[in-house]
Amino acid sequence: MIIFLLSFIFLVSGTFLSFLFKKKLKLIIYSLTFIITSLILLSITLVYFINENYFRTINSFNNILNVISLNNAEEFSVLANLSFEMTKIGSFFIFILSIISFCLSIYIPFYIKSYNISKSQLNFHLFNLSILLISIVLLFLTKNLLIFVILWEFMGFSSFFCIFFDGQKTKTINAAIQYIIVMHISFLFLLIGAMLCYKFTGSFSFDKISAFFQQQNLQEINIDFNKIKIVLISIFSLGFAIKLGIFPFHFWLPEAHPASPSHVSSFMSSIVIKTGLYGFFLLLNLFGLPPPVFSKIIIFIGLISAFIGIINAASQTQIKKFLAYSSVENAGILLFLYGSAIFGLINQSYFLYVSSLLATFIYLLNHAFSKSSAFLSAGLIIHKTENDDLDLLGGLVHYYPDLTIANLFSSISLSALPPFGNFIGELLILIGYSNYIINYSFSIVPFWVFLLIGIIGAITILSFTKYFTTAFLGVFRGKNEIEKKKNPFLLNISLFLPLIIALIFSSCFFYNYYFKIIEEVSLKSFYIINDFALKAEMIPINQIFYSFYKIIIIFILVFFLFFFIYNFIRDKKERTWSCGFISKKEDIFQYTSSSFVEPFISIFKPLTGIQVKRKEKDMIFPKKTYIETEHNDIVNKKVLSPIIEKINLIFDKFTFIQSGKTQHYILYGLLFLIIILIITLIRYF
Amino acid sequence: MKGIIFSLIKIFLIIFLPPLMIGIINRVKTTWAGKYGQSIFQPFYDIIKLIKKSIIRSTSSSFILKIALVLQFISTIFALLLIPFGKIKPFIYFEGDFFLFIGLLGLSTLSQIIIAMESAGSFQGMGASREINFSIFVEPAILLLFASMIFYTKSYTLNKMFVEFAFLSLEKIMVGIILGVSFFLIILIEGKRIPIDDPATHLELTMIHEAMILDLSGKDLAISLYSGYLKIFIFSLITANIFIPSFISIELSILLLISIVLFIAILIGFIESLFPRVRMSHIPDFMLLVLSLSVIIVALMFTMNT
Repeated sequence: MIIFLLSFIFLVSGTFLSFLFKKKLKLIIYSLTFIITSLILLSITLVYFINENYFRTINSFNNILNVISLNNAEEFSVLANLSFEMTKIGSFFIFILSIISFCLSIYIPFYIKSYNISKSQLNFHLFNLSILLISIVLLFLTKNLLIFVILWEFMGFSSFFCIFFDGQKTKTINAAIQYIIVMHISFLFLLIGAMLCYKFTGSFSFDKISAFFQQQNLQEINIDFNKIKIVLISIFSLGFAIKLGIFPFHFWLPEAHPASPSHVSSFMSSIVIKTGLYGFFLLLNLFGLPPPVFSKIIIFIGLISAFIGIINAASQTQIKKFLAYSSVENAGILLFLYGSAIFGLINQSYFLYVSSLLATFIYLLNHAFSKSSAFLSAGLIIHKTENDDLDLLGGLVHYYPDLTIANLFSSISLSALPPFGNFIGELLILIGYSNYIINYSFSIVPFWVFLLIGIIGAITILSFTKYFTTAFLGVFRGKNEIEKKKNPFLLNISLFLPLIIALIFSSCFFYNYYFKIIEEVSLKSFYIINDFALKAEMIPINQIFYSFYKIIIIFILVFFLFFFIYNFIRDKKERTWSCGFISKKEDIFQYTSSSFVEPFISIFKPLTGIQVKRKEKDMIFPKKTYIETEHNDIVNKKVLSPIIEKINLIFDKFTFIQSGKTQHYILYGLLFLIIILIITLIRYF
Repeated sequence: MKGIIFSLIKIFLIIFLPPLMIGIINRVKTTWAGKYGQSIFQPFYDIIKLIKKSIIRSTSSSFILKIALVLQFISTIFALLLIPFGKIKPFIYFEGDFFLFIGLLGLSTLSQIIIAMESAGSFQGMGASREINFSIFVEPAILLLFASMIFYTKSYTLNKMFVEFAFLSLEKIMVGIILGVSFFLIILIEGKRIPIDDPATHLELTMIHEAMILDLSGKDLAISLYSGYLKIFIFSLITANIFIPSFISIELSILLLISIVLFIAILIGFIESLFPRVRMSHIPDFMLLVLSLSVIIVALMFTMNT
C-alpha cells in the first residue's frame, strides 16, 4: 500500500508541478509523471502475479486506521474495517489500466498540443485525469463497500470533468450533463444497495458481508433471506449495468464519446466502463451464487445489448459514435460471458464455467487494448482531417500508412477474427456451450447463443469493414486538403503497443495466470476449494489452445512468406475503369459509407433509429432536393424523450412561482417558516 | 507410408478439383443450351493464362491490396485444411476448430471487401456492399448447423463431426437431409452462383461477386478467382462429407467423396440452366430460407428430445 500511496503522491505532486510551467513543458512533465506512475503500477501487478506473498496483506495503512478506531471505537466503527487489499482480479484490472495509461501519457502531449484552450482549463483537465486514475486504482483495491461507493462517485465526477474538456460547444455540454445525470442514477442505486447491505449485515466490509451471506446459505433456506438477496443483487446490478452501458442504459455512451477528447474516450471505453464488470464480479464475491433465473436474464440482456449495439454501430457514419456503439456491443458480450459462467456453475457444467470465465478475461483484455488503440487513432484522424464523418473521409492510406496499419489490426481484432483475443473469447464460449450441449441437452440457452453469436459476428465484420474501407481505402472524399505526414515514432508506440500486448497476453502462454484468477474467483465467491473437477477442466482447455496457437503461428508464417514473395511482383498503375466515365477527380463515383450500409439499414431500420428526411418540392420538374439523415437512439427517442416531456409539462405548471419579483420570494420564505412552525406545533401537542 | 499417400491425394484434390468443378458447371450449362461448349479444363487454362500476365492496379490502390489478396488466399486455404476428405483426417484439427473455420471464412470475406474497396470505383463498392450485407444470415446458419451436428455426434472437432455423422435412425436421416440441403444452398450463396448472383452476366448493376473483382488483373485476378473456386469446393466437401457413411473403408470413402463433389457440380449446372437469378430485393429472403432451415433442425432436436 505504501508503494501505491507513494505513487499517487508522486502523480499528484507531478501534476501540480506541471501547473507552474508553460504549455509545452507542462505537458511533457505531466506525461513523464504519468508514465512513471503507470510503470510503478505495472511493476506492482507483475510482481504480485509472480509472487503473491509480497502483498498478502497491505497493513501499513490499515494499522493507522485501527489505532484510530481503537481510541474512539464507537465513532469509527464504520471505518474500523476500512482496508485495501490486492486481489488477483483487481490486479488484472490494474494491469490493463497501467498499460493503457502508459500509452495515453505518450499520446496526450501530441494530441492536446493542437487544442486551443486556456491554461487554467488545461490544468483542471490534467488534475482530473490524475484523480480519475487514482480513484479507479483504489476502486480495484478497496475492501469496503462504503469506500467503494465513494470512489465510484469520485470516478464519475472526475470523468465528467474530463469529458467537459472542450466545454464551449453546446453538444459537449449536453453530453456531459447527460453523463453526470446517468452516472448519478448509477451512484444512487449503489448507495441504496450499500445502505441496505449495512442494514441487514451490520457492516460495510466485504469479508463480513460475504461471511454473513455464506452463513445464511448454510442454514436452512430462509425465504425472507432469499428475497433480501434478490433485491440487493438486482439493485446493485442495475447500478453496474448503467456504468457498463448495457442495452436500455446505453444511450449515454454514443453521446459522451464524440463529445470528449480522444484520450478520454479511449480511457473511458477501455477501463472506466469495465469497472461495471468488476462490480458484477464483486456481486459474486459478496452474495455468493445468485438465483438460477438471474444467470439466464443476464445472458439474454447481454446478447440483446450486443445485438442492438452492433446494429447501431453498423448504421453509424460518425467515427466516434460508431466506436461507442461497438463498445456497447462488446460490453454486452462481456456481460453475456459473465452470465454464462454463472449458468455453467448452476448447471454444474464446470467446463462451461471455466471456459466462459477465461473467455471473459481474454475478451476484456483484448477489447480494452484494441478499443483504446482504435479511439486514439480515430482522434488523430479527426484532428488531422478536421472531419469525423466517414462519408467525407477516404483514401487515408495514401497520407498516413502507419495509422492505416494500426487500424487494420484493430479492426480485425474488434470484429472478432483470428488471431486476436476477441475471437478467442468467442471460440472459448462456443466450445463451452458445445460441451454443455454434449453433456446435457440442447436447451433454449445454447440455441440463442449460437444464433445470436453468429448474427452478431457477421454484423461486426460488416461494420468494421465499412469503417476501415471507407475511411482508409480509395480516394479522399473531403473538400479540404490534408498534408502527407508520418507520425512521430513515440505516437506510433501509443497506437501499436496496446495491439501487440493484446496479441501476446491473449495467447496460450499466459493462461496459467488467467487460471489463477479463475481459482481466486471460485474460491472467494463460491467457496470451491481445491476442487479437482475445476482443475481437470483447465487442462483440456489449455491443450486446445496450444494446438490452436500452433496453427495460428503457422498461418502467420505462411502469410508472411507469401506476402514477401508477392511483394516483389511489379505492377503498373492505371486509373480505375468506371464504365467509360472519365473525370479529373477520381472520387466522383466512389461508394460512401452510408451507401455501403444502405441495404443493411433497410433490413434493420426500426432498431437503428435512423431517419431520412427528404425535402422535395411538388413540382413537375423539381430543381433541388435535400436529403437529411438524422440519428436518434431508440431509447432516447422512444423512452427518454416522452418521459422528459412529461416531466417538463408538470414543471411548467409551477413556473408562476418564479415571478422575478423580490417581494414574492420574501413571501415564500415567510410561508415556509410558518409551515415549519405549524408542523412543529402539531408535533408538540 | 499410407499417411503420405493420403496427404498427396488431398493436395492433388485441393489443386485440381476446385477449377474442375467450375469447368463441369460451365459444360453442363452449355450442354443444356445446346452448344458444344468449352473444355471442362478451361478454368485451369484461364488461371494459367492469368498467372502469366502482368499486373495492372488502380492508382487509388496501396500496399493494403497486396496484404488483402494474400490474406484472402491463405485464409481460404487454411479453412479448407480443416475439412476432412471422407474418412481421411484433415491436415489440421483440434477440439473446437469449427469456429476457427468460421473465423477464417470471415477473414477471407473481410479481405475480399478490402480488395473491392481499394479500387475506389462505384461498381466495386456496390458489389462489396451487397456481398457483405447479404451474408449476414449465413454465418448464424452455419453455426446452428454445426451445433446440431455437435449434438448428434457428441464431439466438436470438424473431423469427428463429419465422420461420425451417420444415417442410422429415422431422426438422423431427416436431419441429415436437411443438413445436406442447407449446406448445398450455402454453396450457392458463398460461391455466388445463380439464384443469388449470375457469374456470367455482363450487366454490372446486377452483379455481386463479379463486380468486386472488376478492377483486378493478371496474377491478382488469378488469386482472387481461385479463392472463389476454393470456397465453392469447401462447402461442397462439407455437403459430401455429410452423405458419406461412417462404416465404409477409407479408399471407398475418397472415391465416394469425389463422385459426390462432381455430382454437386453437375447439380449446380442444372440449377444454373433451369432457374433465373432472383431479384436483388429478394436475396435476403433466400438467405433467411437457409437460416430457417437450420432453425428447423434445432426444432426437430427439441421435439425428439422431449
